[in-house]
Amino acid sequence: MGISRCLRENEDYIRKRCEGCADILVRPMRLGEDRKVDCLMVYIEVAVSNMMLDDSAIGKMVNHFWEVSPERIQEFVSNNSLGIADVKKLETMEEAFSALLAGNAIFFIDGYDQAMKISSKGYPGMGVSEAEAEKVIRGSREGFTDAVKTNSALVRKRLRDTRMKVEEHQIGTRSHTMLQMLYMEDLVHEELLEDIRERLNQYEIDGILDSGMLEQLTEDRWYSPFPQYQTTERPDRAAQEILNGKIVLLCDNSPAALILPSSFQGFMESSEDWNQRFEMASFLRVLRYLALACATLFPGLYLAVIRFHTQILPTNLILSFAEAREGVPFSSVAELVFLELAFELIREAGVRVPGALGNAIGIVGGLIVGDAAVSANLVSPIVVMIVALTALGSMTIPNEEFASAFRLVKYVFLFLGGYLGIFGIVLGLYLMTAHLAGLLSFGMPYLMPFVKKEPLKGVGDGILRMPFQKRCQRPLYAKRDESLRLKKKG
Amino acid sequence: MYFAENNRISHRQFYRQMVLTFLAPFLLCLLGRDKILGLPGIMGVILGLLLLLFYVIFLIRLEPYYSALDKSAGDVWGRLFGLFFVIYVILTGAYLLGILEEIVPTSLLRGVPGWVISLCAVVVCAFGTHKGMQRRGRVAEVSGGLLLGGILLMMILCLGQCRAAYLQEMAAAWVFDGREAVKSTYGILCAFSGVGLIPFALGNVEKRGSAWKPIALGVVTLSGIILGMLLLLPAVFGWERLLTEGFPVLPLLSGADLPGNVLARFDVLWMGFLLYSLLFAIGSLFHYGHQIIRLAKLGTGRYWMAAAVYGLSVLELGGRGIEDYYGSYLGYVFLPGLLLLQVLLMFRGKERRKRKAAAAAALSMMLFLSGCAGVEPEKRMYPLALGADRTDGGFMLTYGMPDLPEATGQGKEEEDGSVSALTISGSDFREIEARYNRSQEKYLDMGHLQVLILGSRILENQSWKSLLDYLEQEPLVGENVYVFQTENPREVLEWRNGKGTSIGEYLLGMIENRMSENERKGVTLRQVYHKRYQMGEMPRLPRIQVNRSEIEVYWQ
Repeated sequence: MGISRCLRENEDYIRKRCEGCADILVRPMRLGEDRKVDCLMVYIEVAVSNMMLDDSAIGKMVNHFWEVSPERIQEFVSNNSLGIADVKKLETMEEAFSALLAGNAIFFIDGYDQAMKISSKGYPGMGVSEAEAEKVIRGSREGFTDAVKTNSALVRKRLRDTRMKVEEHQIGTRSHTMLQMLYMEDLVHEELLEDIRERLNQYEIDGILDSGMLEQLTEDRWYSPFPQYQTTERPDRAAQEILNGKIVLLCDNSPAALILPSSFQGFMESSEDWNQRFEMASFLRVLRYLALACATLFPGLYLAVIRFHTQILPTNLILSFAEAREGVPFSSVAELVFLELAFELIREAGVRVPGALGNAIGIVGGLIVGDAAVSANLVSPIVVMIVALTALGSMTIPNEEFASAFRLVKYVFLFLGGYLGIFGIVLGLYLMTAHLAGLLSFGMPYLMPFVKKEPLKGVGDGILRMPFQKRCQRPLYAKRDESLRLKKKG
Repeated sequence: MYFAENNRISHRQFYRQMVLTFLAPFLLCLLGRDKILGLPGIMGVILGLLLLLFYVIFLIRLEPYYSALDKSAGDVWGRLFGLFFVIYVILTGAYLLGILEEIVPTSLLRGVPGWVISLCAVVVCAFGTHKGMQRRGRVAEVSGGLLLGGILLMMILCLGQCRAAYLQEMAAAWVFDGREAVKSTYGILCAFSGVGLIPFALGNVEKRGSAWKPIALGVVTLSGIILGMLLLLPAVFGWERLLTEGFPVLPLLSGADLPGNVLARFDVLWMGFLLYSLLFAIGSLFHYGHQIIRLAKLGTGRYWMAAAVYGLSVLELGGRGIEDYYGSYLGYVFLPGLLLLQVLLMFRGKERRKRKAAAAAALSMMLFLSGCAGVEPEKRMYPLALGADRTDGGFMLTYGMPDLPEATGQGKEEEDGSVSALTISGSDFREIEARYNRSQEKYLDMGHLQVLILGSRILENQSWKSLLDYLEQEPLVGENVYVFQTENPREVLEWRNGKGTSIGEYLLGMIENRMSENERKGVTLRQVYHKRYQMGEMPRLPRIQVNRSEIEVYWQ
């Protein structure tokens, strides 16, 4: 579509297309002597700063418009604007939007059938730093910040499409915290959107200071240890999930974005999965599931085996265990609980103390507590190994909240295995599966994609990461009539 | 379509639910002594399968009558029909819980009372069963495939233990008996009578018109597994022994090895799979019980149903419990009644949140748990070899213990100065065990027994049979234990080589480190059992002789 000479028509078109995009600002203004010439500036709020507008050549030129008579403005523009290095003439709306979403400001003047792109350097770095909790080897180094508008701009930088809507809400009668809901208009289920809007308005609260508070306030099963919202500090992850038809909720003053609906599988995925070759990504995913089983079941299984079912271990191994435990004054359950709690203490201390001291805490914990406890015969070496492997398994889970839930569940399995052997472990597994099967995240089963009603071809969202060529369908979170995400051109 | 907007389950979820529900109950309750076995059993399964496939079509047509019992049968009759099903649900639940209570303490978890086991199980199984069908479907979808895969894998691993000669014994023992085949067929139909509850679920299944497919597939899958087991069991145990086993699937894997020696035995994992399925089956009964109670407008069964199931499972009248009555109830009351009722229904139809309780249950469970305790590994004795002989007043058992520091390479000193061989005599093996418990500090863990050495006196008369009876009911003793004979077992068990290796490890090494089959002529306990049940005699055993400081084995 070409750019109209009539500014009103252009403005109507732009407003319609940018409806629901709270991060895109459409600023009408009147310039020239007596302010008779209508102009329009369109830009992404954070990507184009006021300072940049003031400092750029076109910005200075626009400021000069106040002194030019209305009749001369068009002539002034055609004579001067295109000679300025950071200005480019745009003839169609598509070009204008493409430039806008690349982080530039677009300037329209009434009676002029071309727009001007006021170049900025695209989306600037915005002073963002790497997401500490979700580090990757291959992938973007950008992480969310505390400023909600910067965060939405970081997502917009990745999804340069006006179909990605940014809906703003305010919550908290005293804090007036700004929330932004990011979604792809044509992919998201309307019922899901309505559901989230309803929940956001369900409570009146004095203040929301972090997305964690929002999460707990609006989740379905408050008593479940399992997180029902997925969090991410990575804009690339948020963008990926929006493309899957999910909704991303950004909360001001919080670097953690909430992803809705969430699922068991989502918590086990790392942003890096999409950047690596599918064989390695699949291997790592399987490894993570093994780590999850290890983090949850290992202590319980160890106790079940050494206290009830010694026959399943090779004789030399059980004899080693027996020999290692000679002289330990505590029962194996108490020994394991003691060491697990000691590890939790070390972990908590490591998080709280400043960075450099954190490493020292690890050394103190690992060497002094572990080694000294074994030397003093307070615990057996095998239990140190069990706790270490369990901790490694827990740390391998990409999402910290999810890993924490399993860290808690581990204690249940520990007692069940310790007092009821394999029977207890089976009871625990049955109970946990029944609980997880009952969990819904905004109407979506938590155990997706392991529980889908129909086997969907081409989604490739199981444990294994399929090659990109095989993943031509979106997951069930997206509307079914918009399920195609990959096709060959031509 | 928004995913969870209705309470329907998919065909796949329905199929997996069916498999998960029936698998363990069938494997445990259908096969064994006085149950379905051998060629009549195989015939029964095939005939039963054919009948069931027709029955499935009939069931699908019954769904509208089940979903509105009061409309199709009238208010009073509807409630009575509902009550008929509820009684079935409660009795079946109690029966399965009774099975659990019987097998777990004997085969898996020594030292924990059966009532604690069943109480824990009933609390866990009742969890969330009053909630929607989708939840149940999801549990089945997530775990059904894993469990089915696990059971099939275990069956495949078991193939290594099969012997063609044992299978031939089954064929040789068979004489065609029509009555036996009819009995087996009826047994299969009785077992599948739970399928009669399926119309209650059909209202919540998507694409009801083709819902017969998952049901038929489920029936075929289950029948296939039973058929597989009917061939596998005699091939592993031998025919005569199979006739004496109450739950033959339990020791099925006690003689199987995993490649790589990662696990010495994995019959515990096998039990884990069976238990999961059994728990799911009891949970399913609760779930359908709630649905029936709701449809028949009988109030709510949320608490009393679980209590009734538990109460009936532990109740014993005159020394007889639910396990003794259930078979008759199923065969003479429920199945004929079900068929009659379904025909009646068809004809009549044509004419017209309480978290506190959960917390209390969890708390009481933990209290009970505090009473159960396993035995720490260092507080156990692990005899690697067992010598048995006859004395004038009864029997004598010699336990050959490993030398822990030698065996493990760890330098910790034994606190109690453990002995390498311990000999205890008694009039029978129970008395020997009692004497051991009275005199020894450590718990006797027979799970690592590798070698059994029989003395010449015990072999002279039939008294070795009492020893085999004793070992057979000891679930920890694996059936891959090697059996030898010698003049004086005590002398052999007290023997130590220069490196301090115990006799158990030494003899095991002699057998397993020989590459040639001719040199590996070890006789396992399973072979001994087989020969005993088949011919009533002891197979020829390798003979051990102690010559000065050397042990010599003569493979006969």
